[in-house]
Amino acid sequence: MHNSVCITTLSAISPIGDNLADIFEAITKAESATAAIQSFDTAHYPATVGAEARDGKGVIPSHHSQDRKELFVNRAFQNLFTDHPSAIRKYDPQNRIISIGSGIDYFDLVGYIDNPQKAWQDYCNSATTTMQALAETYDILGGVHTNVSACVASTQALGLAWRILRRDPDRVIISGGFDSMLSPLHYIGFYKLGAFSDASDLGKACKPFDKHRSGLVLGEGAAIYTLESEKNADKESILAVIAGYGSSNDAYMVTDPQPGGEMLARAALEAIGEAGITPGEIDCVHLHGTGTHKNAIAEANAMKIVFPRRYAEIPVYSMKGQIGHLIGACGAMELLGVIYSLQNQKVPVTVNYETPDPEVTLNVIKEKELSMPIRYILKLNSAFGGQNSALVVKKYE
Amino acid sequence: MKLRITHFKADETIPVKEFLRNKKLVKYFNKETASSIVCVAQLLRDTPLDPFTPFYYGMGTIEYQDFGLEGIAELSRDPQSRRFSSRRYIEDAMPSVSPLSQFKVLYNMPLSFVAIEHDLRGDCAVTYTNAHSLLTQAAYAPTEHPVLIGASKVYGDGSVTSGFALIAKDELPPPEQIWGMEEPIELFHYLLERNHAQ
Repeated sequence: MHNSVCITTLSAISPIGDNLADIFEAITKAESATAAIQSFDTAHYPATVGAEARDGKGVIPSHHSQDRKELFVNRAFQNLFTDHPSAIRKYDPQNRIISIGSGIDYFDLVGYIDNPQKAWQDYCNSATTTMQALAETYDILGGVHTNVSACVASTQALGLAWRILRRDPDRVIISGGFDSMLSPLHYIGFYKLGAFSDASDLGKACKPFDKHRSGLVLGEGAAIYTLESEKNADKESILAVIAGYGSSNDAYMVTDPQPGGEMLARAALEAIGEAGITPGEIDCVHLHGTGTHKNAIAEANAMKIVFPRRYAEIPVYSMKGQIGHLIGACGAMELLGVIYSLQNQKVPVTVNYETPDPEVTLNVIKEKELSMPIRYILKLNSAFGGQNSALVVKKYE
Repeated sequence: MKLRITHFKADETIPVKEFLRNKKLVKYFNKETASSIVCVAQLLRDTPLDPFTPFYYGMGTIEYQDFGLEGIAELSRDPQSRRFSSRRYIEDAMPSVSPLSQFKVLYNMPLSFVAIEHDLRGDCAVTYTNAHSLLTQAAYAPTEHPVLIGASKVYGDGSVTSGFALIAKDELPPPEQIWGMEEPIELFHYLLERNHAQ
């Protein structure tokens, strides 16, 4: 008999706000956070769009020497421990674990060029360094696991946390993700891949599943959750239950998803199977939905495999039109959308979805949120390189 | 358990083309990926794997880069002040950056290319530093069959070591024996020594 794994607290710094009330309000209003980048000078850049993390004062500023993803996750931890002081501290430090997803090391290119007397390694900052420091600060002695599986990193980090807690219920795990590719070196590196949206209207730059989608927009932020077994969780604080997890690899191409979506579907079906349910019990799907042409085709085909009779009816949603693509943190940040759906019993509007694509016959919700009974949500993410991951998240009853 | 460790010196050519079905993929490889491809090919030479064998890869701390950082830095300097110039960065340095460079800096590329080469489609993850994380992934793998684990490390001098093992869960060392091991590659040296000792 496995233990039930519950999400009991959360903290997020996102492109649509740094607290849950603001983030949920932005989802309801379907506001887009994609705009011209403010946190570094893009005057001569061939692209200028991004979805930068914001607080009540606007885009969160930073000096070039600051790794923005570290800035965000430090704030997220601070908020989590301030807002929920006993949620983690009720556990022995040896039973406190971090399982987090993130991206590639930050590199302070400006600092390196302006002060070349130090080695280039001195201008790097890694997710592991950040996490080790946070573990020390918050007396987390049960281990730090940092997943760097590109765009599925944080979903996989949540999946590992789920696996640990199912077997070892007396642990508490802080899980989620943090990332920012919004810095001169990483932004241009990603631009060179040719996956950026070329839309001139920056607020509508990312258009998941839309016929006129032209690419992705980078986002940034941190989203962390406290995961506990149901037996140890304060029942009043349970936000949702992670019921199943699966992962797979396309083993196809590193540049493109498997067009037929077979391995993505496999990850989804594994997660559904682990949850002990059938695809027929999934009420809606929160997809990866990057805004690229090939992603939409692959996801639509995966949906046909998972839901052969109702793939065109089951409501689907992507959060990336609103917050961009957070790469190593996207799954964790998009879990906020899942919790929103479970708590409000609504499938949100996929921001910027206007014109259906005949090749992508999915029921993408547009114009107005869809109110419906929602008990189980399937959450999918896929990575550059071919890794796929899926979570089944359940309403706590 | 089957275990393989390979090491290539900084000036040594990694003979990756000998082990690749699609030799055109070489252009995407950094040293870690090339070394991993060779190591896994040697490990699995006579061992056909179930394509859904879970596969976990441990990424070491970054001590080496070969995507052209020095060139980017030089081209991005203002000629007079020698300080960073955004204009020069975009107009002069950016054209010198190959689109392929991103494949050399993303941490899941060794796992992805090994998966493509050996058609590994099962549960997977890439962990970053500390051997304990790699071990934990394997310990919680959704299978009772052996799993494939691996790690590579490019050292500051440009030499590279890869270690891969096909290992059953009951062969994994207890976490307390490797606690504090900062580099995942150290796990494979530990397993090799343990094998010799037995």
